[in-house]
Amino acid sequence: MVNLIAAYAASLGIGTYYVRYYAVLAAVLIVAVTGAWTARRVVPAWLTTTVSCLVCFVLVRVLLFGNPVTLRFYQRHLTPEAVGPRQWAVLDLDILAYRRNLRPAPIENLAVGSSQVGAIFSHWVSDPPQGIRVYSLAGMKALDYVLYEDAIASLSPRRIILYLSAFDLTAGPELYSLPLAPSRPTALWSVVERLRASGLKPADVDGPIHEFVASQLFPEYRYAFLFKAFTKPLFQQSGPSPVARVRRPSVEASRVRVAWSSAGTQEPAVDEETARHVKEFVGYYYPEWLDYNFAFLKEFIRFCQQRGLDIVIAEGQVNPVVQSPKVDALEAIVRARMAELELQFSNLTFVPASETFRFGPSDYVDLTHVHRDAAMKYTAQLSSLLGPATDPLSAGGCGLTFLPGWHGREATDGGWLRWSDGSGQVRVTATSAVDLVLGGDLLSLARPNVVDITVDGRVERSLTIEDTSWSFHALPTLSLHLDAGQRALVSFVGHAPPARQSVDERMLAVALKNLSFRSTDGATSCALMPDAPRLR
Amino acid sequence: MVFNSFQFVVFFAIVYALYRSVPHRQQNWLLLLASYYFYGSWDWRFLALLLASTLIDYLCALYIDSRDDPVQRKRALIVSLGFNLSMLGFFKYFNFFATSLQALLRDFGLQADYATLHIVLPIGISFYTFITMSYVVDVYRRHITPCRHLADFALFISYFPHLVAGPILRAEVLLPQITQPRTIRAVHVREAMWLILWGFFKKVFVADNLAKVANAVFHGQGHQGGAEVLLGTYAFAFQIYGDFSGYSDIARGVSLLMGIELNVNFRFPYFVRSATEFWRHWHISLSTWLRDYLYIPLGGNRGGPRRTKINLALTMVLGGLWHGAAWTYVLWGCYQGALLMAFRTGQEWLERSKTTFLDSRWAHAMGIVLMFQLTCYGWLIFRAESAEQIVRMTASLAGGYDFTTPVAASYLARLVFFAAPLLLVHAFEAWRDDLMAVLTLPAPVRYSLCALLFYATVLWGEFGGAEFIYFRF
Repeated sequence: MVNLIAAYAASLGIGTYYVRYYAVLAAVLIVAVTGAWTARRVVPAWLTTTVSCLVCFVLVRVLLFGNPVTLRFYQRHLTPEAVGPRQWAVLDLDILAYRRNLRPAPIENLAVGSSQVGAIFSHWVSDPPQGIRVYSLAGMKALDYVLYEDAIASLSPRRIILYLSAFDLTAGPELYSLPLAPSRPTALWSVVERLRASGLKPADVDGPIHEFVASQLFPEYRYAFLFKAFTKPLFQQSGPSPVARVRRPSVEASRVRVAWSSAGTQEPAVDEETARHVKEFVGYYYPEWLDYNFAFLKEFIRFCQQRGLDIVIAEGQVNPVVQSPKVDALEAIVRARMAELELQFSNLTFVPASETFRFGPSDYVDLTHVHRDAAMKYTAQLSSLLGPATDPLSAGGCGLTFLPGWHGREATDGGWLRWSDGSGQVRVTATSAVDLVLGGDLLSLARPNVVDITVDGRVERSLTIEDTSWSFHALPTLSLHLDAGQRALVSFVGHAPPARQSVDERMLAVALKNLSFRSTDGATSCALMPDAPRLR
Repeated sequence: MVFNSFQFVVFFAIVYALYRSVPHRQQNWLLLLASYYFYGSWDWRFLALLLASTLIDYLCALYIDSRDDPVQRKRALIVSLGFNLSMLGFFKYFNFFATSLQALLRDFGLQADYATLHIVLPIGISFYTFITMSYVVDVYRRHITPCRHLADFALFISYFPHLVAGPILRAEVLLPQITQPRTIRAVHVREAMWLILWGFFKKVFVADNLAKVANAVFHGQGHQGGAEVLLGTYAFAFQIYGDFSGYSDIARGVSLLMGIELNVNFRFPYFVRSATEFWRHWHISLSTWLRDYLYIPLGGNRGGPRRTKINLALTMVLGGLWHGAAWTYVLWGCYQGALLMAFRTGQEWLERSKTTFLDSRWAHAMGIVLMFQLTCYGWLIFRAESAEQIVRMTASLAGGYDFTTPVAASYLARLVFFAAPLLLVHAFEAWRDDLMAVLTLPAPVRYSLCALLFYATVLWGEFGGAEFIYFRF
């Protein structure tokens, strides 16, 4: 019966998750009202009044904010200008959330980020065709990734694409977005703690944190922007606004001026207004906020790692007219830190801008947003570079991926082998909790040699090769426990440097034969996945 | 820690939970600790001032009570008043008088380089010094017996709901409630909830929203025609009323939840017909304080009509100066004094001429409208940052009014949207002559009204934690 209702509701576009939600809510309300009514002679009057008030409160909440019909009504009668670009996007995403199924079909790619991401990835071109969905909020920053991580993960993407430049990662804290974050009461305190530990002054962070807490606990407060937007036309004036607070005026304007949905039209590459803002724009790179932004980015990558989600960070670009020695230096720092993150997180791939389509000044409609044609060129190149998003779920319980640093597979007696060029790593991914044991043989080109086997950067075993003969040695016993969705990065690094043989031009370090990860009971073996793309 | 802050909500929740679970004596200790924490959350260094004031007045009052010799009693009174007035004078008025003297001497071509200190005004100092002074004077006049329990006395001075922005409570009202065990009845809780909701509505919905209009006009933004200045002044009138009376309501509500009743501080002050009535309805605790401890000692109305008017004017000038160390406040005090004198003269004339035309309903309504305009002009003086601004804005008011400009239309819309609900509720309360009239409405109407106020506060309120205007006094 429930499934029938769910199926019917899904056909109406409501979404099965919320059908159950409303069913439970209605049941709770009915029980509360019936209980209060039945026990009205026994329980004190104040208790009956309190219960009645709470029931009314919940009903009003559901009526005003907790259903897609009302939210659509607001969307239909308001404009992005009245509401604000970020708020509009939040409203849009909230409405879409009501279409959420309990078991949503996975999305191959999910591009997450600011309006820049919207401007580029709304024009996704890939061969072979693969799906993409854009999750874009105006001015989205690293902090927002953490605030929206549950909502992002609920879309079940196989691969998340971020587009981040030094401009994004040196942006100062913009905490005005905190009250708009989706409600996640269970994660409330961890976000608050991270904000408090972020290096911001208490005077700067306390107010937004309090607003954040209020909006997390009371949707009424979170959606206040809708009602303020309804009265805004009444209070609008052509003279100076009585509202005194303005944040990063010109840069914010330049960021959001062109909504990504309308970025397809051809406009002058750098208009006069943009040129005026160039100098100011460069001033908005704040190196002191790198750690702050990277802390949240790292948090988000860690979250994705725990959920078994791949992340690709494509190095973002800004209009070349703003390039300067300062910007170049900051971009270099960001690239170096991304490389460090890539080593730390097995689910992360960083794509430097040099590997992708480079936008020229004529590709931009302002300082940050590109034309549709340029976006299509970019996405076509990026998608071919990345290849199709792989799905470890379909590969059974566990997957084994060779990362860049391995030469091609070679057939050998009784199986296969692969040589590493000295930096070879493999990534093991599990979709359900599993205990694995490493298996296979190893041959070192340099002999004698000591080969360290590391897991997530930590040396777990060392294989000492003392004889100088050309022979494989059994890999030492290594057990590995992975929780559902967890990944591990396993490296085989010899102490001796890689070298060339006289008959082979390749740099060779160690060769692995029939490498395997099997469950301890022998029932499961990690499936070999396609190699991760070589990006540099 | 302001009432409209997250910290206060947490603070009060903890204090209240503990308060309800301990007996009377521990309740007092708890409230004393909480009050000192509340005050110290602004600047813990000023706790020393509060403590010093408490100790000196506690000892002086005991000394005064224990002596029969008028000279000794008077000396102790002078010590107490001297300390309080010196403290108030130093922290509040030192820089003001020093810079004013410098400016005056400069006008006469003299160079005077008196040091001005970077003195931070301790929050609420004007309120608690007036409370302690009234206590010692009442003991001196033998109106009350002094409190012998130091902790109770310290709580009387520092009780957090009224500490930083009043009402200025008298010992005869608050001390018995502190020393005697309290009972919290359902009616208290009901009234308290209404007062808190209504107070937040006034502060967050009315005052903080209209502050945008008032600030724009008084900061000289945009066109400053007659309509804009008029609407900006009206906006400030509702802002300051919403702000201050909102604070008083929340203070009363919070206190009532703990079983302690505080005085009513505002009673429909914009529905009055004369300056005399206005001061009986606006900041009642200050105006009665000024009456009892300044106007009456000056001679009150005992020296004939002329002397009475002079006393009134003097009281109002000092009342103006109480609000802050600026010439605009002195001017405002003079203006209020002049209004009181004018209304008194008018009243005397009406009494002599035995005129009855002012008793009609229309005359009554017109009187309210006229008095509101006069009050608003007083607020213009009060809010202005300089005499030059007062002159400029007065000239604008005397000029043309164009309410069709986009700026004026926007101000008008804000004013109507944010002030009208306040006026409607007050009109109903004034009609019933009951500040709690809403609680007598049928339950569905009452709950609907409360829900409307709640949602208006949450959806349109300004939750930036803006301080209350009277904190700086």
